[in-house]
Amino acid sequence: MELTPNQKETLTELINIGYGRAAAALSELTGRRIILEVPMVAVHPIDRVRKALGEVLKGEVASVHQVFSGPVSGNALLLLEQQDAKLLISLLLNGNNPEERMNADAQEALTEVGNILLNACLGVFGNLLQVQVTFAVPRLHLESIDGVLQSISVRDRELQYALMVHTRFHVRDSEISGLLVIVLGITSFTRLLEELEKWEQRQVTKE
Amino acid sequence: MKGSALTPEQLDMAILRSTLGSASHGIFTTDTELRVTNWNSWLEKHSGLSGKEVIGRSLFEVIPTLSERHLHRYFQDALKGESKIVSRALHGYLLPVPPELPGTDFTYMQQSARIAPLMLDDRIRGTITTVEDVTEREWQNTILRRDRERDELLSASLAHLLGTRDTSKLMPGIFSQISDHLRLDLYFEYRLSSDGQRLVLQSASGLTPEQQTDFEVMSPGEGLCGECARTLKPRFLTDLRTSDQPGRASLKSMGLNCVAAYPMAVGERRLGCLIFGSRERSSFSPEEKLFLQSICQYAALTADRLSQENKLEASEAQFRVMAETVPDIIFTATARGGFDFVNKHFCEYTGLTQQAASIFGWMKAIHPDDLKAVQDQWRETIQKGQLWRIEFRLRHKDGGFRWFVARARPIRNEANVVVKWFGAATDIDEVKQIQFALDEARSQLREHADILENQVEERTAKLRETIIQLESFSYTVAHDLRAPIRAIEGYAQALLEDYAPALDPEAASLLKKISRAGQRLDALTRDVLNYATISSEQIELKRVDVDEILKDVLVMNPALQPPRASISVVRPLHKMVAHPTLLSQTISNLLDNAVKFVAPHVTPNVEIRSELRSASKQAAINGASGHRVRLWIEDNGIGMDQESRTRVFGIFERAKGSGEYVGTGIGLAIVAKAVERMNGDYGVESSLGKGSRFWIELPSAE
Repeated sequence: MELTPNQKETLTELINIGYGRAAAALSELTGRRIILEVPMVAVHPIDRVRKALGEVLKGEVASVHQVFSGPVSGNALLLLEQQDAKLLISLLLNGNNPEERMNADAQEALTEVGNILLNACLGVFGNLLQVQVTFAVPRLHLESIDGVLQSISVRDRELQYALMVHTRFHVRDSEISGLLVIVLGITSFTRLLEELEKWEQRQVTKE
Repeated sequence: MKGSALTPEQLDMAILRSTLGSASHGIFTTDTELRVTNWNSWLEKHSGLSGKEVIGRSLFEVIPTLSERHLHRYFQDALKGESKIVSRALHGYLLPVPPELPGTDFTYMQQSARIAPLMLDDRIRGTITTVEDVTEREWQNTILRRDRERDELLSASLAHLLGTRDTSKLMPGIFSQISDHLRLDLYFEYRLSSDGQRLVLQSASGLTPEQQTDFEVMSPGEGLCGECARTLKPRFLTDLRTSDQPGRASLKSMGLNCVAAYPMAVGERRLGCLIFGSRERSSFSPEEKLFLQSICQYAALTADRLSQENKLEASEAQFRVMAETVPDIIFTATARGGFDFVNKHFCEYTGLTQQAASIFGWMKAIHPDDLKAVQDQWRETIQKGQLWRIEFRLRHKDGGFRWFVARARPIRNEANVVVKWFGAATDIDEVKQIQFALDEARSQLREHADILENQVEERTAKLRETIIQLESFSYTVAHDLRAPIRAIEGYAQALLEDYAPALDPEAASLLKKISRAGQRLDALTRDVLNYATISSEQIELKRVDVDEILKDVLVMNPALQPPRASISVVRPLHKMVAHPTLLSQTISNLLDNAVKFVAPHVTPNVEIRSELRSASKQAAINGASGHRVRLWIEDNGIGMDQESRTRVFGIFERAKGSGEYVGTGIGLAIVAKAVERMNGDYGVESSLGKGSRFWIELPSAE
C-alpha cells in the first residue's frame, strides 16, 4: 500500500495537530519552548519496517512503547537513538542529567515525554475515527532495532502496516530527530485512510 | 467455614482489599467526576489523611496544587482512555507529602506515578493512580551528581590554579567557583610572613572594608587561623549561632553559622591558612570537608610553586643583567644541548639574532675548519655531562674571524640530573696570535739548533778521528824511536865500560851525559807509548781486588819500599770494577808521584785508603747501579797551588816548582786517561807545602 501525495499531506496535517497539542503540553511542563515538527510521513508493510528503520536509526535505540486497544488496536512507539534520547532529556531537564547512562529518573522522564507525544497523536486519530481507544501503560526499552521489531511483531495473522512519522524536537538551540511508529492491522489502516478522506472533504467543504 | 464460601467476586474483592492495604505504594481511584473513591493505607499513612476524610471529595480539593502543576489534564486525559506517566524528573511528586527517608534535602517525598483509566465492561468508570516513593533513588542520584559536580569543581579549580601566575589572584578565582556549590559566604586567606612572625591577610571575600582592616594582621598564635597554621590541622566550628563557644565572637559577629579552617602547607613548610564560612549552613558534610581540604592543598602547592618560580625568575633576571654586563659571550643551553640564550655581545659580534642563534643556530658563526670539532665535542660533552673547553674561530659580522675559547659546565638538580648548561666564550685572538708568533720563532730556533748540533757532531767526529790518528802516530813514533834511543844509550854505556882507561875525564863525563840523556829519552818514549796504548787499546772491565793490585805495585817498585818511603794502607780497600792493567798503571803512577815530589831530606809518607760513596745523581740517572769507590792517595809532598791543580792531569804538564824533579809530565796524564777509560773520575786536593791528596773514583764491585 502506497500513500498518495494527497493522503500523505492530509496525514501530515493531522499529525501536526496532535504534535501541536503535545508540544504545548511539554512546553507547559518544562517551562521552555518546545517545537515538534513532522517533516515526513510514510507507510511500510511490516516486513519492510526493518530496512526503513535502519535507514534512520543506528545502533541502540530508546523506545517508548504503548499498546492501544479498542475498535482500532495496535502498537505505538517513539524511537530515538540512545544518545539523542539522553540529550533530549538533558535539555528538557535544564541540563541536569548529563550522566553517561540513562538512569531511572531520566528513563521515566523520557517515558512521560513519549507518552504525551503518542497519546496526542493517537488521540487525534481516535477523534477522527470517532472511536474510544484505550492505552496500556507506556514502557521504555533500551535495545537494538531488532529487539524493538520483535516486540511489535504481533501474533495477528492480519497483514500489518507501519505508519512512520519522522519527528523533530526543537529544544533550546538543539534539534533532535526521532521516529514515531504506529503499527496497525490492514483493516484499521484502511479505515483510517477512509476517515482521512472524509475529514479532508469536510475541511474542503468548510472552506 | 461451611456456608461462608465466597463468590468469585467476593474473593476478588477480598484480594483487592488486602493488596491495597499492604501495597508498598500509594493507590487511589476516582470516579468520572474525579471524586476520590478509594484511598489506600499507604496514602493514609503518608498524607495524614484518612480514607474517611478523603473519599467522596474532589481530587482537586484533596490535592489542591494539581492544577497549578499542570497535572489536572493528566486525570482528564485518563478519563478519555489515556494512560499517563507522571515522572519525578518533570514533576518531582504527585502528592505533596513529607519524605519518609531522613537526612535528605528534599522538602517533599519524591514520587513517580501512573494515571490510567479505570475500565469496567469496556467503559471508563474513573481513574486509577499508583504513586511510588522514589526518594531514596533520587537522593542517591543527587549525591552522585554532587560528587561529580565537586569533582568538576575541583578540576576547574585545579585548572585555575595551574593557570594562575599571580599569587594574589589564587583564591579569589577559586572562591567564585566554589562558593555557590558549597553555599559559602566568605573566606579569608592568611599567609605567613617570611619571618614566620605574622599572618597577613592575602585575600578575602565577603568582608566589609572595616573588617578587612581589623583582620589585616594576626599573630600565629591568635584565633582560629593561628591555631590552624600552627598545628597544621583543619578546624571546624558548627552551629555557631546557637552554641556558645568562647573566643569566637568575631566570627559570630560576621553572622557566620559554620566555619572551616585549613592549613596551607607543603609537607612541613607552613604557608598560612584558609578559612571558609557560611551564614546559612550549620555544618559541612564529610565530603565537603574533604573537598575543601583538597582545594586548600592545591592552593598551597600553587602558592609554593609561584613563590619558587618568582625566586627563579628573579634569579634569572639577575643572570640576564649579569650576562649583558660582562664583556664575554654568555650562553645557556637546555639539557639536550640546544642553546636557549645568548647575550647581546654574541649578537653584536656575530650579527646573528637571538632567534637565529638559538638551538644550534650559533654554529653558523663557527669557522668551517673548526665546525666539526666543535659539533663533535659539544655532542660528546652533552652526552657525558662533563665540562667543555674548546678553542675555535668565530666569524665577526664583518666577515673576519677571531679566536675564542669557550667553556661550559652542566647545572644539575638535586637528583644530579643535568637540567641546564651554562657557558661563556672569551676572545683570545691576541693571545693566540702571540702564541702563533712564538711557535714560529721556536720552530725556527729548533731548526737552527739542529743545524748547529749537526755541525758540532761532524766536527767532534773529525776531531776524534784526528785524535785517534794522532795517538796512533804517537805510538808509531814512540815505538820506532825507542830502538835508536836504546842504541845510543847502549853504545855510550859500552864506550864508558870498555874504553874507560882511554877516555880522559872530560870525555867520560860527556859520555855519561849522553847515556843519561838516552835513558831519559827512553823513559819518555816509553811513557808516551803507554799513554797511547791506554788510549787505543780495547779494554774489558771486571771486578778487581784493589789490595792485590796494590801489593804487586809495591813489590815491583823499590822506591816505594822502606827505607826510601813509608806507605801505609788503611784497609779494607773496597773492590772496584776496573781493568787490572790500567788500574795497576794508575796506582803505580800516583804512588810514583807521591814519593817523588817531596822536599829534600824528607822521607815520603803516603797513606792509601778507600771510601765507599753513594752514586752521584747523574750516575743514578744514567742507570749506574749503585755505589762508587773512591781511592785516596795522600802524601806529605810539596803540594801545589790552585792553577797547577787544574793543569796537572794534562799531557806534558807539570806542577809549578816541580822542575827540579825527574819526570816526563806524562804520569798523571796516563792516570787521567786510564780512569776515563774505566768510566771513572779523578781529582786532587792540595795546596802548596801541605801535601797532596789525589783520588780516583770507580764503580764499586761490592
